[in-house]
Amino acid sequence: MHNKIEILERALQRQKAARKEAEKILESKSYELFNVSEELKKSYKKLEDLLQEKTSELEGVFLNIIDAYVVMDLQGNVLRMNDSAEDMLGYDLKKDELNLMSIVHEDYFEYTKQSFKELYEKGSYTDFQVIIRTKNNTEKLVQVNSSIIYNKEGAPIAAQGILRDITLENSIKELVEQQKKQLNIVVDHSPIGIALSNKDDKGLIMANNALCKLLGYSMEEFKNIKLQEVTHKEDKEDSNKLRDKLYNNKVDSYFLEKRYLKKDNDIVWARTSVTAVKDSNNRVKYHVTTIEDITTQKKLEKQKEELLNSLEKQNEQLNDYAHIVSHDLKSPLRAISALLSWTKEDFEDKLGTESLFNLNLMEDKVYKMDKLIGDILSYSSIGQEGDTSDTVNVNNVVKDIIDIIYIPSHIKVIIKNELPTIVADATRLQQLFQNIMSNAINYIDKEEGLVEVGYKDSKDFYVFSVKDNGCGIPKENHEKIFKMFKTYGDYEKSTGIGLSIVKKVVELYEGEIWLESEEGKGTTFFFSIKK
Amino acid sequence: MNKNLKILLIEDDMIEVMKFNRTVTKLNLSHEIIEANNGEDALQFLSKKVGLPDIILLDLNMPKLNGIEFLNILKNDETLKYIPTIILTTSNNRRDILECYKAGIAGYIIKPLKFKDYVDLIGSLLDYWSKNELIKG
Repeated sequence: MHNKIEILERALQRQKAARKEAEKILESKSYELFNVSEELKKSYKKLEDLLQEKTSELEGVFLNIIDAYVVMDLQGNVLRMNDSAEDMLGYDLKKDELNLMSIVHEDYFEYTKQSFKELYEKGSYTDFQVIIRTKNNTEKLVQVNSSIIYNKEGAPIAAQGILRDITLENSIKELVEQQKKQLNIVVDHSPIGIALSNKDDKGLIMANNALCKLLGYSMEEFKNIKLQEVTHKEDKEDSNKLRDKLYNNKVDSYFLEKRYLKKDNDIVWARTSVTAVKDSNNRVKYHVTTIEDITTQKKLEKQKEELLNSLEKQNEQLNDYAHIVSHDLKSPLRAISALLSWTKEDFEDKLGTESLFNLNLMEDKVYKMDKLIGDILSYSSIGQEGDTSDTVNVNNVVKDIIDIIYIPSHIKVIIKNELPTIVADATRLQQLFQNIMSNAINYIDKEEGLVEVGYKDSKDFYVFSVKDNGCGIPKENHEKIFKMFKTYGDYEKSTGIGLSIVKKVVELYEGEIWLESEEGKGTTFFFSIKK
Repeated sequence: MNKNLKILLIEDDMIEVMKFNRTVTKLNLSHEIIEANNGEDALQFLSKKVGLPDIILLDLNMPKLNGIEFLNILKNDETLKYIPTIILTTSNNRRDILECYKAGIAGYIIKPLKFKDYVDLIGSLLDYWSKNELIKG
């Protein structure tokens, strides 16, 4: 019994302790609960505040948004819009009703309807561009980005849109496009090859049609080829030196004539000019290269050079030829002359007067022949290499000639006024004066002959004159006498080359020769020599 | 006072040789004349280096070896280059004259047309050289 009670007491005690424990737990739990509910109250308040804040904030955004902002119902009737939208469209919702469809340009009706449909279906529509007519009847190009507003249940209730007036932007864009097109036309139609490149690029940024055609590469190929790579190997060194100067900012541009190797390995000669294009920080941004095809020019230059060379050679050969021919002609003449004089010497007694006379005639002809050959030779050698340019006192030249040539006693040769000292070849001057002076002497038919050598200064020329009182030259022969082998007087020894020599020498010194003559009274020859 | 000269006359034209001989005879001179018809013959004679001439009279226009070529060979020979050589020619080509003087000549005479003038010229030429001191042998 005692044991039973004891057991019951212990059980009761355990129960008491358990209840106490349970009460304790309950108490702490309810405290916790209270705390949580307090917490919740606080956060709810906070949330409310936050919501209020956000709502007003949104209102602010709505009003202060720079772009035009419009809210409309699903039929397009505008419910709200901000100041920017009012400014852009010219409508005031306080006074006007506005359905967006009513201001859309008629050309855009269908497109607009389509876009609205898409907007409803997808929930948003971006970059819708449309022309609208504002209240004051101006047309504007507007870009619209719009989206649908849904209610809590997810049903669409309205649409909102941001409108941007892109009329100006668009016209600027169009202008830029147009200018770019115009520029491209110029670049593409230019006969000069044009390339745009950058130091770091693998190839060219741009090459125009002319360049592609010139070098045989396509624009695509040029994207991986630098002009330096298609430069002829013999011109690479010079070209690279200049390019490095440009790269190192030592020069802003350079210019050279060089060869390029075409795709088909042909050589193109080009006048190349490269200019650095710098940005505002003075850093090189691009290089503009222009290439002008001068292959034909170069070919012509080369031809000209070759022609000149061969001409020079031919001239030289001609000179040699003249000397050889003259030697070959003179040698037999010398032999004939010697044999004639020996015949005369050896058979003086046996020859009759008549034969002796004939032999003398033969000798005269031999002399004339010899003179002819000499004259031709000196004519052909005028203007050949070997002429010198010395300071020559013409007085001395004329005085020497007076001493050398045969002047019959009835003829007087005088120097009328002081002659100048000029720069020329002394031998040529002697040829010139001697021929004219001899002519003057040879054609004098008066009992007292007079030959006067004179000089007059002209601006760019020395003008000399040789005047005689001979038989004169008829007008119709004034031109002809300068022709080769033409003689018009009755002077026996004339070979018809003297005046040709004179004319050639005068022309060598860029001067002219002319004459004044009166038949029976005399002739004056004038000739000029360029200073 | 005038010495007798040993003259090598290099001339391909028979009549020119006759003219020279006749001149020497006419002027009563007793120079020894060695004739060579062309440059090769002359070189053959000279290369023996025996009985070398005092002076050489040389025509420029000759077949085969011409005067200037002969002159250049002569002037490249250590012994022969000292022999005074006078050109006798009809050519007054400036270039020929220049080349001859460059090679080293002792005179350049253009043959006159008239025999009388020729005699006078050769007379004074020989007179001048026979008054000169010359390398003998």
